[in-house]
Amino acid sequence: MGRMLAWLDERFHVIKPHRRFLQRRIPDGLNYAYCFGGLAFTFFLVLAGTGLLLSIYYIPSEKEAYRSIVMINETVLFGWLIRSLHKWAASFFIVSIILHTIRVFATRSYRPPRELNWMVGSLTFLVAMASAFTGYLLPWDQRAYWATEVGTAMIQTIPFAGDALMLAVRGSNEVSGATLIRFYSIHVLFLPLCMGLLLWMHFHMIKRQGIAKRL
Amino acid sequence: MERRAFLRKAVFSFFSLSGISLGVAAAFLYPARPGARKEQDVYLMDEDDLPRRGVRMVTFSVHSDEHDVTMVNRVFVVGSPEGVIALSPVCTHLGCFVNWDANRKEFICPCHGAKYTMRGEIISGPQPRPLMQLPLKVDHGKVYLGVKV
Amino acid sequence: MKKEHKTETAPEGQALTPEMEPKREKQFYPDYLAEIIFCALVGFELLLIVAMAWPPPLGRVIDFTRQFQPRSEWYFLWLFEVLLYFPGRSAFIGAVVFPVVYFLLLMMIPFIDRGRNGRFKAKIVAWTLLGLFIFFTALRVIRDTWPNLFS
Repeated sequence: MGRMLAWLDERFHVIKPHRRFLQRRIPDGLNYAYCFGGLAFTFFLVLAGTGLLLSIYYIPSEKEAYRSIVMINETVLFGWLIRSLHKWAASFFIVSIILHTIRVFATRSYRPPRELNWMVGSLTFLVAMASAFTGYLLPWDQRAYWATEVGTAMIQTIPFAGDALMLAVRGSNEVSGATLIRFYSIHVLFLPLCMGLLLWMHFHMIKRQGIAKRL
Repeated sequence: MERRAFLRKAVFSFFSLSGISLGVAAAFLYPARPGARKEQDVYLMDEDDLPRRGVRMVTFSVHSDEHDVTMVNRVFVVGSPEGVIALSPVCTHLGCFVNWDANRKEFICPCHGAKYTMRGEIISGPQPRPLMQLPLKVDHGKVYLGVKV
Repeated sequence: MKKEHKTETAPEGQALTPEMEPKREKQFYPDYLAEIIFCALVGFELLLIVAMAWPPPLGRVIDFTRQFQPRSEWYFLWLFEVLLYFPGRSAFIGAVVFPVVYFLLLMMIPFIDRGRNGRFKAKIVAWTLLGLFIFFTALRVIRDTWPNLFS
């Protein structure tokens, strides 16, 4: 095991450049309020994993979306569990992000040079909310339809550009199959890509700047 | 010197190309023919069944050739001394479907509580416009509704 | 990897007070990493229990002829509630301006915390933001639970 790791490390060259980071002293006084960031990332990983699985059976089409969800729930082995995990992980993810934000604010860890990381974190929160919104339409049931109808109609209230923007989001005049495939693509491709990028920045800055000392 | 000028041009063209690419991407994402909706006459009911007084919710199905789907939709047919009209159930606030409250004699939106009179005029609530009227046509004793598909 | 373990023992007959406990430097690896993994495992197990206990029910198939009361996820309830207070043309303020300003304020907190009373200003902004979220969510939940309370 150790030799295999050494063999790999000789190629990837990970451990030595990270030694400073791995051996860094952790400031005193950290408590379990500091775990919410890590928890949020855990739930993100669960979301990514279960999301990948669900995408195998889900069909993003007006005619088949609902049926494919029924199939996942009733026929696919552990389908109900994967769907349930995905759904609940979304809620847990958002709760963790909120608690993490409160912790970072309370310990005033956003001060320079960490102000950019606070902003990246806020953007992460925004992407999480957008993912939740686009994911909500995918089951293509009554709830999903009407929530999206109201949610996208909000864009229409923008003066002058409202109608055009709403069309760009919905892809048609009403919420329809065009909206479904748009939201699907945004939910499984665009937003996870953004999220990956943002999280990389977030962790990279923590790695370089260290954990903020308690005040 | 020459090299610097070349580099400057290269940077400039890089940014303008990126800008153009973004523009093309935005145009690509904009729906192809969003406005292309044809008005279609859908059979609703016989003329004799039109309500003289009161509100009736009528369901009808429309087939969209473009998407090859049949949608069952609803419309409120309202009869009163001023004549018979058809009201779209779409609340003008944010697009939820209103419900007819027979006791209070008003349309109520379940989303944000917008209220309309029997003829679709605003009573109270956040909605900017009255309910939309849809064209009704009577032909040989049959009533047709003009729907945009 | 060199760890600095200073082993100190308390003088006999005396209780080990916190000051006398062996002071050990906490490192990212392995101490902090272990804590993170522990938290992650506990969090995941909690999620697993909840997900197994309450699987989300299947929704109803889309039907325009049936009455339906739209409801958003709990984390959007507050925005749904805010829409109520901006009638007619001003709906734009509730639907777009409010969320955008809210988000920008959140993002700009490090820049609000500048200068003499920075922390104080930042505290006011942060608690207002959190308060708005909780307040409107609570209002919406109350409204949904007892629909006739306000009319």
